[in-house]
Amino acid sequence: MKRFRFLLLDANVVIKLFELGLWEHVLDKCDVLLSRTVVETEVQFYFDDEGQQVIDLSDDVAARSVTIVDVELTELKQFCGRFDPTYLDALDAGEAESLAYLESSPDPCLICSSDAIVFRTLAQLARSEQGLALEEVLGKIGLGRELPQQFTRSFRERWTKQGEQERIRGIGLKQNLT
Amino acid sequence: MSVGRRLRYARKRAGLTLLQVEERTGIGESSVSEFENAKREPRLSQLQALSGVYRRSITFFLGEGHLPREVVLWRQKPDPATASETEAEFLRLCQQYHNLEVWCEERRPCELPKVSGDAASFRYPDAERLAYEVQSELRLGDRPARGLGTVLEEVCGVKLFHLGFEPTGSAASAVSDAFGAGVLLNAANVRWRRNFDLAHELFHLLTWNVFRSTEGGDGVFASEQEEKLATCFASHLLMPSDATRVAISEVMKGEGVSFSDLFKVARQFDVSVEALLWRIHFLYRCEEEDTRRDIERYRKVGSIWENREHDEPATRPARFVALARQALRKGQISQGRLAEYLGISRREAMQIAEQEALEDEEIQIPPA
Repeated sequence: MKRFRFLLLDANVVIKLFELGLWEHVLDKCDVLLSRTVVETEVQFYFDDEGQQVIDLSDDVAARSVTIVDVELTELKQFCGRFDPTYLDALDAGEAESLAYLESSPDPCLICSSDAIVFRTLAQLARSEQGLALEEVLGKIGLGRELPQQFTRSFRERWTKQGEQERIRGIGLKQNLT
Repeated sequence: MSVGRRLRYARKRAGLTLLQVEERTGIGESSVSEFENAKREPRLSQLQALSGVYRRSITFFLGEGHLPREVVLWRQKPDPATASETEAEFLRLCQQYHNLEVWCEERRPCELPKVSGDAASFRYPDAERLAYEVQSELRLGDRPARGLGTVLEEVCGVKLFHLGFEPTGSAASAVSDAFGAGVLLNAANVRWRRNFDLAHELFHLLTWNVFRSTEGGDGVFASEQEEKLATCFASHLLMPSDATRVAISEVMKGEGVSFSDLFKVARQFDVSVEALLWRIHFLYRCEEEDTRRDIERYRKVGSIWENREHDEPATRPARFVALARQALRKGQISQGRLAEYLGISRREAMQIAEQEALEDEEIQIPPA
């Protein structure tokens, strides 16, 4: 049994895992979902001691270690339509796709991100508990280590709190979802 | 308007054929055509790729209602392909700047002096008067070129960008309900020439409602007369009469001025010697034939004195970059979006995110 099921990762997290040499380990211990936009347009390179390296996920996808998730444009439009117009302009397309998938999926998905706006958006959607920092994921699968600030639990908590406050003040969403 | 129609509109505005889109995105011509004709919808990853080459945000394609009116006024419009691509990039930068202002809650409405009247009755004395009013109202001083860009951007809310393109004499301006006023200068030009271009484009911004009809027509061309008025305005704005007379009198020897002294005055005002010679022509009522001859002579020997350093301006103004980093620091923008807005790699954006996160950390102070 894998420690995490239905774990969506954003592009920066995938790149960081490659940089840390932990990508394969994470795949062993988690059911990883990636949005098609993350795979096809956002995750391309990482850097190690030998310089720039290409990230090729095709073998992982073929071996079903990674599941690609798609969101219909209409579905995404509906999702985006719930926010103030410029709010979702601030997200990566892959993040918007992942969040739209998380919202519409019957599975209990989690999303691991290093972007403040993702945690703010989750809070806006009253789904704060579905956000994770890379530090938390690695900690739970026995690969814990010190990471840059934006990959830490304290970073997630700080921005989740901000999103919750914004939700109460009616900032971001066009209408109250709850 | 549907996604398909917006895709076609954006492709045409970017001046791209279906084949060029295929070459740049890897999405087949027939697929793009099917998207445009609403036979099927693109996946988000495909829309992302298309939005990149069309220089539009994804939300542009998901939007409802009518498209915004997008008018870009060119001075010496480049060839159609260059113009379309440059125009698309310019409008994208203006929109991004506006988004950053909104996210950072630092919106700066365009505050330029209001100009009324009609195009048919607008004459040179009006352009001259306008130059003096602007110099006074914006407190530009006796050497306006030095601070014009900063004042327009920081005080008046004009969005100012630099891109390199041919012909080098070219510049552009735009006014939009979506983002306000923007000016595009040619990065390939020397600073003193860009100063003149900026003043020239400022005239178009100030008189936008005088010369561009708000109803009907696209208003993307300026008549020869309007261009001459803009040049007159720029000349008077950058070389105010009194200040120019004083500067010239200080270097005059009898009734003549040497080229080397003219260069010193041009350097003071940060304009070209050619622009200064035309200003002298009108200020001292010289014969046009003499002025043209002097300009020809200067062109042959000018390189001896023209030793000002040619800077290469950044595409995005400092405030744009500062707002982008602030937006990241305030959790208003993703790292991927930061990379796109600043024209940097995702890795560089991740490094900036590390710095910004660190800068925002709190320090612990033990209780007293």
